[in-house]
Amino acid sequence: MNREKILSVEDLSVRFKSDEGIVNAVSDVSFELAHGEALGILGESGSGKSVTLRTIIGLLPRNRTDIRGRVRFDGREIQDLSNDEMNAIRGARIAMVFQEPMVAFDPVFTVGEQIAETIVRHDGSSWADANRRALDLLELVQIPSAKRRLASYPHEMSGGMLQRSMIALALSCGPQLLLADEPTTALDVSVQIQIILLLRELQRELGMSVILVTHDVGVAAEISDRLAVMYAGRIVETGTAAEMIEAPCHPYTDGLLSSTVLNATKGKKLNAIPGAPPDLIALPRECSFAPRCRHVQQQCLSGIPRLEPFGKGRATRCLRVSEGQLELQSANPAL
Amino acid sequence: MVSDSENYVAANTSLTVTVTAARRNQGYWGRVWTRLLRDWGTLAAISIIALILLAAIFAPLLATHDPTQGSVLGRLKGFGYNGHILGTDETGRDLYSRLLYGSRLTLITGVLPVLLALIIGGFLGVIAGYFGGLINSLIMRVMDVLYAFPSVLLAIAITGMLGSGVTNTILALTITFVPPLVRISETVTSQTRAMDFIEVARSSGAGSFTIIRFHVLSNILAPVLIYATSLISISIILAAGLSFLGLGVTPPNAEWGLMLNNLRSAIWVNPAIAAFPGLMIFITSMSFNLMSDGLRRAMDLKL
Amino acid sequence: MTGTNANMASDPAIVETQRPLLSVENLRKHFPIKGGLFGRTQAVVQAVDDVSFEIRKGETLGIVGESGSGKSTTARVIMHLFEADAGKVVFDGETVGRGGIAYRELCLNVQMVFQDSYSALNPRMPIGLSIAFGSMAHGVPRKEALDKAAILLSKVGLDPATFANRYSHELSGGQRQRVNIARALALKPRLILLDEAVSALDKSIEAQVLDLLLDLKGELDLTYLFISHDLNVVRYISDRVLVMYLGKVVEVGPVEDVYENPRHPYTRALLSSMPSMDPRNRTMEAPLSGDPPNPINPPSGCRFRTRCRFAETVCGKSSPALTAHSDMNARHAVACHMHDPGSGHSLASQTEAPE
Repeated sequence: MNREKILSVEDLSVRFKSDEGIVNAVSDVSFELAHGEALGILGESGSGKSVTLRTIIGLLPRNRTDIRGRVRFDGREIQDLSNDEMNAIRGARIAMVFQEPMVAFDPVFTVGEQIAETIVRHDGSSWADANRRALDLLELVQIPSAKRRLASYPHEMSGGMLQRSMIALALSCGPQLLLADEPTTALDVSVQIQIILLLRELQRELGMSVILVTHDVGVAAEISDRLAVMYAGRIVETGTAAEMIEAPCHPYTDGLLSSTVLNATKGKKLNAIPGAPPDLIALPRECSFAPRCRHVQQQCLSGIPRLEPFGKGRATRCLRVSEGQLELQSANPAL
Repeated sequence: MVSDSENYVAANTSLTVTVTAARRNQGYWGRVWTRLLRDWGTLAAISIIALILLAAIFAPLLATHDPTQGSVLGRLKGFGYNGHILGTDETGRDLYSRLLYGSRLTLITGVLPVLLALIIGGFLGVIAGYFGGLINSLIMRVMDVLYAFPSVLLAIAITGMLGSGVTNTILALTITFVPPLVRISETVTSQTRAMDFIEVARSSGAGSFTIIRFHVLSNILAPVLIYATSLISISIILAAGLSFLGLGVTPPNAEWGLMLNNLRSAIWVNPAIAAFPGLMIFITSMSFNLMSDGLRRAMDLKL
Repeated sequence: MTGTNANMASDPAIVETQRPLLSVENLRKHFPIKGGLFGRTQAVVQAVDDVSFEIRKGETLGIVGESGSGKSTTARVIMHLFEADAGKVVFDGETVGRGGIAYRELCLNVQMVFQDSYSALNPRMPIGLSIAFGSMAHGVPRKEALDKAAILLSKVGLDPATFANRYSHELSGGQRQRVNIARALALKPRLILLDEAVSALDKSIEAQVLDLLLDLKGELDLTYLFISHDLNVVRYISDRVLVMYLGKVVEVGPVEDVYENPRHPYTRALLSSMPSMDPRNRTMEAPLSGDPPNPINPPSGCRFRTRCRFAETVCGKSSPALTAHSDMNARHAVACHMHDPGSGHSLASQTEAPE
């Protein structure tokens, strides 16, 4: 029973109503997350990665969203919970770190007050206890002179410091699952690596499960045990981080890894993936990557490929794998 | 290599065309127009304004009586009395004809001050917002002083000083509306000024005048125009108010505010007749307000 | 083939004999922060301080640095969007400004592409007209300028028939940045300043735009100043790289030289801050702690000393000069007391000795 999954998502589809039609933000997403595991969801804007995250923590406006499928957290079906039950889980057992810490904090309260307030609200502890816990948390996220920082307002802190405070806030009730939405995107490189290391350390020490959403392969590779690549609302490939980066097999993953500048030879043209992602309002009834794919064949246009498992814990939505056409070790020789 | 890049260009464009063309096949003004046509409330408001405008223009043709010709006997008579469709006022003049003629002065005192203030205020606001610094402080502090008075008080004070009459009413209302229009055009201009495309234009070597003409005006037009339309209803009410207080249009000219004032005493004799000028002021100002709201929705870029 | 021009420029033998296309000498830009009742200057942001560098014809010079390093301000001062407090900009041998070539003439030679592709286009103007605007401002008739805009649109991979009458919000981020590039090309400039031009784009779109930039460079004989915080992109596209920290240049040199053999402790830290890309061999220690300090009232002497593990007293006393030392490639220069034998830094003689 110790390999019981903390989170399992089954056939999740999320659709938004908009003036121009129905936006298929997320389609048929399934994945599982073990206790203490770090999953990286990699994708570009509009790939559905952030929406997936927000569905798990129940942050989407209910009246304009159509959510299908099941999200099971620690043995309970999230979609069946009432608002009150969801509020008790949100922030306490599932916590989230956002991309823009400056916007996520309320500018008129000190950072200490905001962390303590969350503790009081969820645990019902006294303000004195909560303040003490807040100080411990700021020390946990390695903020220098934490005591003084407790009384700082958000605008008095630098970006890196605020993101640390944001993580402290997320950890305030000892969550079992931490969701991080592009937590380092707004930061400078030298600060980014500090936050990455902090997240990794906290995850190990506190035994949390983490889902990290990012567009940056490098950041994902530093934190994640497993990766899931999303494209046009669907997971197109999953597997262990090391294997996937070494030998990506979906042409989109391959493109993300090898046709960006990371492994390019200087002065030579990049093998950029042509075109742009499809319109989420009018998703094709075929492989949604087909129009941009250099390996596209007639069968690719006959239906949406299934997420086909192969190898050790890997799966991909590409016909070439299920038909055995792909030599898996060929890609990305630079690593 | 060449054919490669051609392929990718072709693939790229063909894809994006299918994505966007399906949904957006008209220009910006085309879309504003379609949105307006779909908005029944705004269409109704615009039709009412058009009707009032036509009534004002063709008042001599539509009027049944001379609007200044009174009758000692036929005062404050009800609907249909002796061929007076809407009855007569306190000096026996035909109410229907007076309402028709009154719309002329009401529209003039409603629209003209706003138009003049739009030109003056827009000019000052754009200058202040675009150039900033000392010029901005100078213009905006003067406006702050004018702003310190409530608009009703300011209009009353100015007409009180200049004396009553149509020209002075228009002048007073223009002065009253300059500060808010300066302020809104200054705000949207400085917002526009902060956008990168202004720097792009500057770095292409264009002068300030050219940049204002091409890049600033096009961007501030919608918000300033929408705000100005919303001022028209206030202007109508203020002008009516001034006439009501005896500071605006002078008798025997027909103007709705003045008519309302004069019929005040008739409220006990024939309330239906006394209500008409007020009703017209209400309908007109309401229509201008609704039109301004509708324009704001239709001209929104993001939709 | 398209790549040849770029390769030619990076050949030092050819480049050295040429006059630089642009040289920046002792450029300084400080922004006063005003406050209080009477608008007195409360503090000064030393955004760019005593910056000098050259861009050679046909090369791509990359500028890297974190927020507050002054890299964007440098580009804006070159473009005269900000007036420099001191120093001069020389374009192709002629000083820009008083006594030299006029600003309007500089605009015909130097153009800039901004990071925010949406903000850089007038939302109320069809993109064809946005592209044509620059030429029209220089007296080209509207019809002719629009025809040229159509040609430029197809040059950046957008079909003019479909796109010329569209508005910027109808385009995707990648398409908008293509329009911005076409717009910059309209005045036929020789130098383009690319300020984080691909940073806001998704990776797969970024690759397309970088490809386009390389194509255009070869085809139109362009020179680029490429500003970015993305070290990978800069390495890929640049011939030489300039590293900035708090308004100062700390290191400059051929890109492979700097990336393979960084001399300044900041450059080293910055490069090893990049994620490793290999889950089996992850970064274990952050090379720098804390955030980059604020350029308001920066540290005395060497500005990096507050975060440098090698800092000594000398570093606080005098500001190190950007120098090419004897053990380095002649085109590689660094501003660090550790590399200056006469500085009195305890590590100075040791670093000079080997090799």
